[in-house]
Order: sequence, then C-alpha cells, then structure tokens
Amino acid sequence: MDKALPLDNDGHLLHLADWSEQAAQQLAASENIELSEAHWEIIYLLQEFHQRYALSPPMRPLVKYIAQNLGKEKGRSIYLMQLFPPSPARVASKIAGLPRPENCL
Amino acid sequence: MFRHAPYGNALAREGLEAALACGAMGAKTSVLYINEGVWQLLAPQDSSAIDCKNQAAMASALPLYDIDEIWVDADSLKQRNLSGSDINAGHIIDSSRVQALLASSKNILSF
Amino acid sequence: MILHTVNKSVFDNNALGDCLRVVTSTDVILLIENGVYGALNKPQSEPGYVERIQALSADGTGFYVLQADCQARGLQDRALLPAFKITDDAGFVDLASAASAIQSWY
Repeated sequence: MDKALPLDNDGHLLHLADWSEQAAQQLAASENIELSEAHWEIIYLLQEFHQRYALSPPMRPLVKYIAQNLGKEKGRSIYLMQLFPPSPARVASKIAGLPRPENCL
Repeated sequence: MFRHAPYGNALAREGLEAALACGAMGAKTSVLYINEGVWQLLAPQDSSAIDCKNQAAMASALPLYDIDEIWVDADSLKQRNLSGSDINAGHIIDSSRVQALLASSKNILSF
Repeated sequence: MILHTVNKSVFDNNALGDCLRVVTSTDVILLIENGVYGALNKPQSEPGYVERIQALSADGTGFYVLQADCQARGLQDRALLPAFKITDDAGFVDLASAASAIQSWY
C-alpha cells in the first residue's frame, strides 16, 4: 500500500472520506480482485445506496437495488458472486469504502 | 411495532434495524407505526446537526428489504394533528385493522 | 389471544392508554413493574379510563396484576379496580404460554 488508510478490524475503511479510486484499488487487491468496468459500476451504485439510505446493504437488498438500476441480468447473486467472491455484499461494500453490512455472514 | 419518536433515544433506530434484519433474512415482516412512533414518518428529516443517521432515509429502504407492508395508525396521526400529507410512507389504517394485524402476527417486536 | 404486558405507571406514561385503544375482547392485559399503579381504584387523569376497563372486562378482556410488583409497592391491601385479578409468576408463565403472541407496552 502506498499510504496506510485507517481500517477497522474487518479491513473496511473507518472513514468514507478516505475513499478514492486509488483506495478502492488497494482494498480490492486485499481481496485479490482486479477492478474492471463491471466492478466500478457496482461500486458506484453501492455508494449511491449508502448515500440515499444511510445503510450498507446485505445481499438481498443489494441484488434488488442493482436489478432496479442496472437491469435483471446484473441484479442476480451469481453475477455479483463472479465479480466479488466469496461474499459479494461484504467484499463490494469494503471496496466501496462502506462499513461492513450488518446481518451479513 | 414502532411506538416511540426518533432520535431522543435508540428505540426507533433499533426497531428499524431489527425490521431490516428480519427483511434481509427473508422473514415475512410488517411494520406498524403507532402512538409516538408516527413521528418517525415526518419528512423531510435532516439529522446531520445532531450527529445521527437519518432515520427517514433508512426507513425508505424497507421495500428493498422486502418489507412492503408498512402500516400507520390513523388515531395516532389524528391525536397529533397529522394527516396523510405529513408522512412520507405507509398506508393509514384504523384501529380495527390494527387489531387484526396484531391478532394475525406470530411474533410482535415492540420498539 | 395476545398477552399485553404494561410496565409503566398510568400516571406518567400513556402505555396503558395506548394498549387499551387496540386491545380486543379475546386478549389479556397484565400490569407489571410500575404498570401495577394502573389497577388502583381511584380517579384517573385519563378521562373514561375506568369505564373503558370496565367495558372491556365485561366483553371478555382479561385484566391481571402481578402480585410481587403490587406487594413491593405497598399496594397489596389497597382497593383495585374490580376488573383486575391478582396473579403470580406461575400465572404469568401460563398466560404467556397460552398467548399466540406477546406485546410489551413500555
């Protein structure tokens, strides 16, 4: 890492204000993920969710929100599983700089 | 069952989180705003200056958590000089429907 | 049957009044902790309170107070509203297990 970002015990950013695309790359690397356009689309949508609802969504609401905004093809857990294994809600929220979703295994 | 006003204590927030958790786990969940709980539905809310999460914003996510039955007690609104145009979500029901809702519930969590 | 428990004094909180508005004739109300003051047979601040309890009781709603909480507060020898029966912890358990759901008013 170029610069140490303050993280919580689960490796999530302590402060969303520290988030940048570069920070996202670092967080993704810690999950062995290389970010593509398909990842960024989800990351920005997650941040929009958090902005709008003040929540970090677990799997079901995340899938529903993505289906509403990006269509049913992408609003499926298998699609998210391919992008953000092994636990899409947790991993994607981490890369998006959000707290770990509650009620998330 | 949400019976307390938001922000003064943690009850409203905890109730909402419990409902969201039930929804996220796939448990069939209805929410009822009654008594002081109807204050939770006033909009717009801006809680930034008191350093709390915006509960109206959180509550607006309920349908995404598969909670589509959002009920509001008519008498509680009336007692507080509120009407349907003051609240940002939910279907207003009278006390006989509140009674039926409680009677048909397997578990009731009250906050 | 829904078992409604109320644990706040009727003199400083509307929990019992709120409960009375939605309780049905098949339900049971149990006053516990400071809620037991609601069983006292004296004029209440809430208009129509005593009449409402009497009417509900006549329709079949059950009214109970928890003995230990009455005793602790020195209410054991005081006159209670006639609708109220006194019960103990074992009675509380029986009511709870007979109920389809429990609603706690606090």
